[in-house]
This record gives sequence, C-alpha cells and structure tokens, in this order.
Amino acid sequence: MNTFAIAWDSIWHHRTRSFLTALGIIIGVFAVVTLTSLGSGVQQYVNQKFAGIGANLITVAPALPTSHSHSRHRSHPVGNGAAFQAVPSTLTAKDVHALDHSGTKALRSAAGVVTVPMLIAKGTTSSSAGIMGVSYPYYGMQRMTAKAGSLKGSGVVLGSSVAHDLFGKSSALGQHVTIGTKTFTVTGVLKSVSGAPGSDPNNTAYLPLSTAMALSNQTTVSEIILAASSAQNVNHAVTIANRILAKSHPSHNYRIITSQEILKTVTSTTSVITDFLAGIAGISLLVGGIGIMNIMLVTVSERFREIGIRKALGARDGDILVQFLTESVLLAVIGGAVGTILSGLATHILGKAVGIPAGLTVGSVATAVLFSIGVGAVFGVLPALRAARLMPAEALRTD
Amino acid sequence: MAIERVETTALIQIKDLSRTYGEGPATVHALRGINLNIQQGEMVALMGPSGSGKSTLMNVLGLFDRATSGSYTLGGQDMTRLTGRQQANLRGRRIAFVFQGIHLLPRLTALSNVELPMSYARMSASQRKDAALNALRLLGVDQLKDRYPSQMSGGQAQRVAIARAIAPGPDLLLADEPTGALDRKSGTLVLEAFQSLHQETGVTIVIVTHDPYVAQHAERIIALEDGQVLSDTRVEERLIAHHEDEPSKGEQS
Repeated sequence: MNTFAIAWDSIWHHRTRSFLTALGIIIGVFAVVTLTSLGSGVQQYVNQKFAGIGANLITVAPALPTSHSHSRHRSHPVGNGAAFQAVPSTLTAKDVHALDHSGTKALRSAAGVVTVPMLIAKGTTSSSAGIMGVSYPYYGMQRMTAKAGSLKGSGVVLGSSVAHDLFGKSSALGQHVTIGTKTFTVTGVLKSVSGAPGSDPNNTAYLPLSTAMALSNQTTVSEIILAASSAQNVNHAVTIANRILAKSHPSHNYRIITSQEILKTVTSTTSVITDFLAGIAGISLLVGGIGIMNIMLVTVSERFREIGIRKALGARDGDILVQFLTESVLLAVIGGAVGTILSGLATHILGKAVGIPAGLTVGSVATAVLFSIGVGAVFGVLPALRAARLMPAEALRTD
Repeated sequence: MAIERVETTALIQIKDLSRTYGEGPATVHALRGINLNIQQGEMVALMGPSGSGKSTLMNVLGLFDRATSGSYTLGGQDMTRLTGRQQANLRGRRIAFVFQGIHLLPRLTALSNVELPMSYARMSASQRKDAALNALRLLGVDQLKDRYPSQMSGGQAQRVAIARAIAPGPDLLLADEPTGALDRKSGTLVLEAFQSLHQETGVTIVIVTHDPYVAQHAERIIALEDGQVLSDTRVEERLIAHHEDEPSKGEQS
C-alpha cells in the first residue's frame, strides 16, 4: 500500500469530515480564482476598448502652466464652452492647424474638439444629444463613417441615435434642425459605432469646428486629438507636438496624454483592486488552511496507536511525516480542484451576464493549484511533525 | 559488526545499564545497573511486578528508549549510540515486536499487515509477499491472509501479529504481554506458537510478562524487582538442548 493510497483511504474513511475540511479550501480557492479571473477579464475588456479607440491617439488638453505663473487663469474661468473644465482652455484653432500640418510622417493628423453646451431640436422635438464641434480628421480617428451624406459638409452631422430620435425612420439628410438659436441643415448621418466607456458617439451631433466655436462664442478648443502614424510612433509624435506647441505656449500650459498612459492608469487601478480583493479572498484560504491543520491534528491524535505500530515495524520519522503530509496536501488539492471547477463555472456565467471576457486563465488555475498545495503543505507540517516525532513507546502505551 | 564480536557469542550483552527519569530529588530510578547476557537462540521470560523495570528494559532492548548509562550491544553492535534513523532501520527488521493489544492495522488485510515491516525496509513486492506467506504458513494462519483483523478471533489476530514480527527474519523477537488480551485457551495456543517458532527457526525470543503461567513456557526466567535483577533461573532441561545443538544458528541478516 503506497503513501498516496494510505492517504486516500484515510480521507475516504472520514468522508464527511474530509468534505467539511475541504470546504474551507473550496471556498477560499473559489474566491481567489473567481476574483482574479474577473479582474483579468475586466482588464482584457478595457484593453480591447482602448485598442478599438486606437492606441495611436494622443490627447492634448489644457493645463495650468508649469514654467510660469499665470494667476489670471486660475481666477477667471473662460466662457461657456470651458465651463465644465477645471482648467481654462488655452488651446486655439491655430494650434490645431499647426499640429495638423506638422509636415512629419509620425504626426499624421490633428483634430480640434469643442463642446457646445446647447440643445439640438427639430421644431418642438428636442433631443438629449450632446453637441460637439470637431475638425474633419476627428471622424477618421474615431473610425466614424457616414451612413448618408458626407462628413465634410458645412451643416450638422448626426449620430445614429440622434437621427433616429429626431427623424425616426425617415431620412434626416437635407432636413433642418435648430441648435441654440440657429438653424442648420443636416449634411451627414453617421453609422452606429461603439465608443469608449463614458461617452456615446451615437447620441452626439457634430458641427464643423469653426462653426461650433462661432456658435458658442468660444475662442479656444476643449482639446486636440492627435493621430500618430502608428502606436509605435506615439512617443515620436509627442515630441513633435511638444516642439510645435512650445512656440505658442512658452508657459507649457497644456498636457499631453497618450492612450497608453490612460490604459496604464486604468490597468494599474484595476490590478490594485483585483489584488486587494484577492488578498481579502486569500484570508478565507488561510482560514481553510487552519481548518486542515486542525483536522490533521485530530487525525494524528486519533492515530497515535497506528503511528506507534508503524514505527515499531520500522517506519522512519520521514515515512510518517510523508504519510501525514500527503494526506493534508491531498485534502487541500481536492478542495482546490473543486473550488477551481466551481470558479470556472461562476466566472463563465458572470462574464456572459456582464459582457466581459471572463473565464479561467492558465494563470488563475496555476495560482489555485500552487496555493492549495502550499496550504496543504504549510498547514500539514505541524501535525505531520507531531506524528513523526512521536516515540513509539508513548504511542503504544495509550491502550 | 564482526570485529567487535571477540569476547563472546552472546546476542545481547547488557552491562551496568541504568535508566533514570527526571532530575534532583524527584529522580525515578527505573533501572539500576542491570547486567545480563542473552545467548543467540534463547527463549527468555522477563518477569516482575509493575514498576519492577521490565517495561523500561523492554523499551531499551527494543530501541524505544535510551539507557541513561551503561552499555547495550546486540550482535556485537553498540545500540546506545545509534541515531533515530538507525534505530528505525533496526526496528521491525532485526528487532521485531509482538504487543499486548491486538496491534494489527484494522484497514489492512492479514497479508498486507505482515508485509508492512518489509515495505518499510524497501523490499521488493514479490520478496515481501513470499516472506509474508511463509510466515503466515509457519504460524498456521495462511488461510486468513485476505481477512481483515475484525474478521479474526483474538488468538488468530495475535498469531498474524507474530507472523508479521517474524517475516523479515529478525535476530530478536520481543513480546510484551503477548497473551494479555487473550483468554487462557487462546493464550496457550499463542504461547505454543512461540515455542514451535523458536524450535523451527531458532529465533531469540524475549517475552515480558507478569504472569508465571506465561513465564513457564520459556527456557529461562529473569525476574526483575525495583530496577535490578532479582533472579535468573533455567526452567527445564527439555528445551535447552535445542540451542546447544545449533549454537551458530540465527543471525540471518
């Protein structure tokens, strides 16, 4: 009878007790694996979304000056358009033009964006849509294409849900809408797109940048989006943009955010949260391990006689140690396996429900296996040592 | 081992063996300077009331306990300086045990129980099985080989336990109250099993008992009292002839 068979025999002999002991590990491993799997699912989801927007995009946003103090900017927020922003904008249409005509390959194009705080309506029917002014390259950067009309016209371009809200199934093209007090002709309708989290490009109406600035009486743009020729050229494009902007912004009152940076921030945030939750879940694994130690101590004292007989028959301390360690590790691994299977089911179902690509990963399964072996070994050592060090004479005297 | 065996052929040599527990005024003297030689092939009963030191002596002989002072050699090999691992290697192989209770492992068959000491000795499966079946046959319980201890009578189980002790071919068989848990009839059968085993294999047997009836089955009775040898007497002439005919037998390892 080998060590494994002895261990299994003992576990099977005390089925109920073994199951309850393993339950601690099942719950612990389930919690750890589920949380890490969901965490990596969320991360994958975020990565996909960012890849969809384009890893080659760079945002230039206004910022407080870093080289000189311009106190007037702090106390006088500029007009309507910049009202949502903590920092007044200093970026102008000139900057957009200069960046869009950089003459370099790395910095392919630039688009200015302004937010227009007005409502769009058709007659008395108004819409909840947001209004943005964008220069033409913006559509390409966001992978927006026209379903009807053109994106280069001088009128308004409607997002798919705006068009539907205002015109139903009839064609919006050539129709008139009012934005604020002025009337515009619809010159384009966009195909439905999926956008970055937090914005809905389908529920937005787009005006040409200069039209929007004039309409809302703004002299600055909210931000400028730059497109590098590829994701690898982002850093090069940033250098070029800095050189161009340095001329008109000696106080460096802008900041450049690459989508890599945003991704990094989001990634590190989600991984901190995941680790934190997994750590809490790890506590339940610890509790499970203590359960194993407890039951193994009981097993050892129940089997004093058996240990004594085995030692009298020539079992070395190591033989006894291995026998009891095998039992605790086997118990933990069974718990770990069941926990992992349950976790696989749970993450699959949850992932489907929430719409993120969650499921067991090689990493999470490896973690679970190592964790349960580790827990079984660590918490089995004390009882196993106690068994191994038992003097055979003592063990046999307990008649 | 052979180098040290110049003085005598005695299997067990004990000189001035003492064992104390505790320190200072609370010191308990379990053994106070025991001197004893047991020859190869003898069948000895170690007698004495409880507290006489016979269990302590048995534990020292069986390498379950260490003497505080004095020497103990088995087959010329000094037993007082062995490491725990060396002790374990001798236990079950050169020194075998039969205990008072029925100490078979309940969830193993008779055959697996008998094979156990040989599997700890890392013997091959086929060697183990052959030796185990031989030993069971020798004790007349080979028909029980597939039974579990719960399916045997007390006397049968004790004979399986003796088979387990004898299977690896030990030099010394230590039996601690081997009939203590049995009725007189089964006890007698077990004692007769010891005697025939002794005659057939010439193994050295030491039986620890407080029961004079059990002691009568040995060739030599060593009585202990208060940690010292009180008397050392030969029982009958009938069995002594046996080991003098075969003085060099034994020592199978």
